[in-house]
Amino acid sequence: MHPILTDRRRLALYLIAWSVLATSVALLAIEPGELRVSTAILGTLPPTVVFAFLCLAAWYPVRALPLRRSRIAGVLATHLTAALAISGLWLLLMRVWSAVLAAFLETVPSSAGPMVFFAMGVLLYLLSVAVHYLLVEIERARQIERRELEVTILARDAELKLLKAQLDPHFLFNSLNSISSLCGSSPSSARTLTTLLADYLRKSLRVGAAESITLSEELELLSSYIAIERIRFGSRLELEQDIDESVRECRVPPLLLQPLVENAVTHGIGQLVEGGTVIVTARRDGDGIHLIVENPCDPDRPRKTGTGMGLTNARRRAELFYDRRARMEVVDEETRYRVSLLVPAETC
Amino acid sequence: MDPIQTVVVDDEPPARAILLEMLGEHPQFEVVAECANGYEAVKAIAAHRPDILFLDIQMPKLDGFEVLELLDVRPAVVFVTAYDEYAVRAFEAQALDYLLKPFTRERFAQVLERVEQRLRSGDRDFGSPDASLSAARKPLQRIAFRDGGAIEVIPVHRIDFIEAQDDAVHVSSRGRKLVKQKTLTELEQLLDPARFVRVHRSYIVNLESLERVEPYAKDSRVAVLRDGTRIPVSRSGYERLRTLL
Repeated sequence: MHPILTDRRRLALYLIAWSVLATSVALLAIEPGELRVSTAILGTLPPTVVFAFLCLAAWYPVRALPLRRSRIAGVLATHLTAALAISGLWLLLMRVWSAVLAAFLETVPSSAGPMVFFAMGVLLYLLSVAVHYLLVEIERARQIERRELEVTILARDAELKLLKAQLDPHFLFNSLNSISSLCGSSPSSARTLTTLLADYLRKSLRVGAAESITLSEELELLSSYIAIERIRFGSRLELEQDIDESVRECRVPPLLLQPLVENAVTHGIGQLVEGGTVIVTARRDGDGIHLIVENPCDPDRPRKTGTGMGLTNARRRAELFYDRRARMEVVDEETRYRVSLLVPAETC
Repeated sequence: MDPIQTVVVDDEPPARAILLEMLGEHPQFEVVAECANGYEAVKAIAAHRPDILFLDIQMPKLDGFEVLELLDVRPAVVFVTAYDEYAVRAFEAQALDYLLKPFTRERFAQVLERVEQRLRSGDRDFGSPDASLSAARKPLQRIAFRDGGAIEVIPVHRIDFIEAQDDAVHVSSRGRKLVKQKTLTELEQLLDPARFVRVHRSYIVNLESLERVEPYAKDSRVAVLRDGTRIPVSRSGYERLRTLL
């Protein structure tokens, strides 16, 4: 697609620019005292208009020889050859036109100074080459901008999907139902739960938008989540955290552990009549951190086909964030379920 | 008029609390039992023979549908759940109503009115255990058994084979036999056909427990399971096995 020919606005601009150039060319043709301006214009304009369109052909060698990927000598040689040829063509046209005019007019514009016209033609063609290169670059910049925008939109999209997955609607409905029931029997607990829920939502929204957070922040979010679920599950649900102080400030992708803990609650503890304890462990392991989420589970649970959504998400997020330096391991025993993540310890 | 005997089943204390609170405003309903899981529910229902059951669906071990399937006599049932995706199954299980948590007083009063009308009309057919089983998730993930007061739930992957016995079936799992009041054909339709094969008029075998098939007599074969059990294989049963293996 030619960047000027296919764009009306650009073509108009191009022709306006050329009308100025064509006038200067005409002025060049005036020899002092000999020619009137109108005759000079009549003598040079038609071949110049044709030349203006010929210069648009510069697009084809420009497209074939992108500056970034071509040898500079080759580029120069090609464009120079084209410039000489097209400029020569222009001179020829002028000659032919003068001959045609000579048949009708008495005063013919002088064909004097062909070298001046030739040099000018070469320069004008090279100018056109430069303009075309410029247009190619503009197009490239636009494409890069568009791609960057697309990437941003995709990232935003992923984030939104993540948040949607995070804010499990059943979790919300169940919590709202708890609030609704506590309003009658224990208004102060209802108020506490409302605050907990608001706190959790605020934290997960803020944290979900961040690139990375500290492990402490992630653990805080887990505590809020468990505090809410404890109101529903009562004493059936316990959380135990065993965290090395030295890893608290390490950076992790937001909501890395949250889906694992949510799994542990809904599929593990939630399926046990007598309930149980979710254990979250974080230990330093050389220059990595070992993160473990562990829960008891029903030995009679139906066998799962494949890994759950929460697990797959957590694995993908860890892989993306740590550039494949993260490892995940799932131990699915009769009465215990354990997910362990080994990730590099990054502090800033 | 006699009060309407009511049982409330939900594993979450706050969810039970709101049902009790709202039921408290309608003195014609008398709550005779409050259950925190499916086991308690099956026992309490057998003991109290209530008229109406407010039943949560998502519960540990035994879900709401499995509770209904284990009952000898079905009371009227209103499902109470935060999940809207069970509505169709609730309808198949012939539930009287389906309450989505959280709900308003008005909606609850409406449900109670409907329950009362239905109970006073004298129509006591609230569906059968079969209706609740056919409302179960297909293919079946686990099977609940009840022997008097004892309830046992077995995940289907632990079943080795199932044998027809008169009007019931014996389900064999790791050397134990559990009785279920179902026909073999009914179970066959509920189980995953890619894993459970009807190898004989009277037998269904779990492919994972199958060790090999041996010729037995002229024109007949026998399936040998991992634990050594030998099960007759009919000619059409062998055809079915061959297409799957």
